[in-house]
Amino acid sequence: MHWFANPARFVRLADKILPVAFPMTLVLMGAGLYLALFASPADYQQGDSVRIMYIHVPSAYLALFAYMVMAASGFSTLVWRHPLADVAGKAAAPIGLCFTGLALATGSIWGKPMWGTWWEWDARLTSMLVLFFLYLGYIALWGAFEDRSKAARAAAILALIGVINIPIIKFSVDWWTTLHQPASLFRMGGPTIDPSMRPPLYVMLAAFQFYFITIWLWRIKAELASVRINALRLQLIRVKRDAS
Amino acid sequence: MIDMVAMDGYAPYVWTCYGLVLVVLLYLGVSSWLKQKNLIAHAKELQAATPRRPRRDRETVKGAS
Amino acid sequence: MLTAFLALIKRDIHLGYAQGGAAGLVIAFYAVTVTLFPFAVGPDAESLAPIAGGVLWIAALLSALLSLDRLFQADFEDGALEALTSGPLPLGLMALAKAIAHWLSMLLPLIVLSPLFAQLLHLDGKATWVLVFALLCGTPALSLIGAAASALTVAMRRGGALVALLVLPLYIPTLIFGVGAVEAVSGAGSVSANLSLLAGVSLIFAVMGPLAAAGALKLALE
Repeated sequence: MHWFANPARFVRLADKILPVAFPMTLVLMGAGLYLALFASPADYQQGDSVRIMYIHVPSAYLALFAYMVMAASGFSTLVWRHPLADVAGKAAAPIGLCFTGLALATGSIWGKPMWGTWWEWDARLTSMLVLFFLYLGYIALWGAFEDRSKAARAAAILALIGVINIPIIKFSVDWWTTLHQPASLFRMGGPTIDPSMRPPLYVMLAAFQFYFITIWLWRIKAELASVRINALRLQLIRVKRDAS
Repeated sequence: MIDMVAMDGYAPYVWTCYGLVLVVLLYLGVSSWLKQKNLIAHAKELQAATPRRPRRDRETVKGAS
Repeated sequence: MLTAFLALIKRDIHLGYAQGGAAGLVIAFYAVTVTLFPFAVGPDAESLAPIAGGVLWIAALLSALLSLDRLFQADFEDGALEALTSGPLPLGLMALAKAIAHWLSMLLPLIVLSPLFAQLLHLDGKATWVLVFALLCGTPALSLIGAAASALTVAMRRGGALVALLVLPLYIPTLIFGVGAVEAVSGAGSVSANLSLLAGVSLIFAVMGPLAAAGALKLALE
């Protein structure tokens, strides 16, 4: 009953959200890009390179957000055996991996003019790198099982281990960088953001958030369809066997 | 406008970042959209090809999914 | 229940040292890995001493990793794991017992031998003692995290590379605090702060590791 009734209801809900979320993504992304590239001042220290922040920070935010979604999905997979939860977690992982990669890439490109090297073992970038490996492990674990429900629960356990570890890793990496780097001159997306930088940053954050929702719902729909295809295939085989 | 493109010397860095993000976002978006479109169409095809199942079958399929 | 717990630890340690057990191999692996570093960075004390703490910790991490894939797998394959689940021990305590046995049989010998290897890398006397304490506080986390990852991959024929990918990122905090303690002897930072953080990480995983391992074993045994 779960697999057939619940997903159908969810798809109906998703089909109501998507016509809002997708246009919102386009509008906000357009507005955000305009604000970020043209309608905002350059930083007095970093010049125009500060514009990288408007895509770096939202990428880093989604990288973490997607992991939280995976962990919440994992929790409901394990506790309530909610049939949609594992699909939701599986759908979020590749998105999270992409944004972790983007946060790393934009951070390192931003670092080149700021630090003079393509890679600096800065606390934020290093934590992102570890997060990247956590995503790889989660995705690899999903792929390593033949039985879908076992894969779902194993991945759920891993996501929960990961989410408890993220603060520990973050703390340890901060601890480590303060030991090895005496007060860095430039902190990426640091705590002090000039008020004039807020509108483009917030619009971009919203755009990325709607982008995530759109892609996530599409991927959930795809995953539900593929589960359904497998079920139908089994059924076809059964029907043919019964007929012969 | 030319000032804008030049990004006071940071142009290669800024535009590489924006280009990269755009490419990845487009790729992820288009591939996710195509995937769900194709899979849903395929599921509908299979659904149409499957004869209406008797009760007994419904039970077994549920167990398998 | 306590007797069953202790009996399981004892059994696993015996198996580790029995014919075909991995304990001896792990020590050899540790020794060889440490030996490689002088060839890589040069034999003089100036190049070796500053990195000695890091080298010995990395070697310990890799040795722990190397010995993980047999943690549950042998028992899973010959059905002993299933037999154990019908015993008095809940899965979580069973996983804890096996993690303790792994630590006692695989990692404790390395810790005992580590002052010797520290001398090979020209680590000074005080730092050597700090290293031993750091390993004592920190390595339990390696076995406990490892038990969870090993349980997640127990049913896979070739889980080795996957275990490494799952486990090594989670070992990073232990590595940071462990090396931090050794470096604090001569450089910046506080030895005791690093040691208590190491013990803290081990304590967190003393709860989390067996819980996660129990969940993973349950689904493997279905």
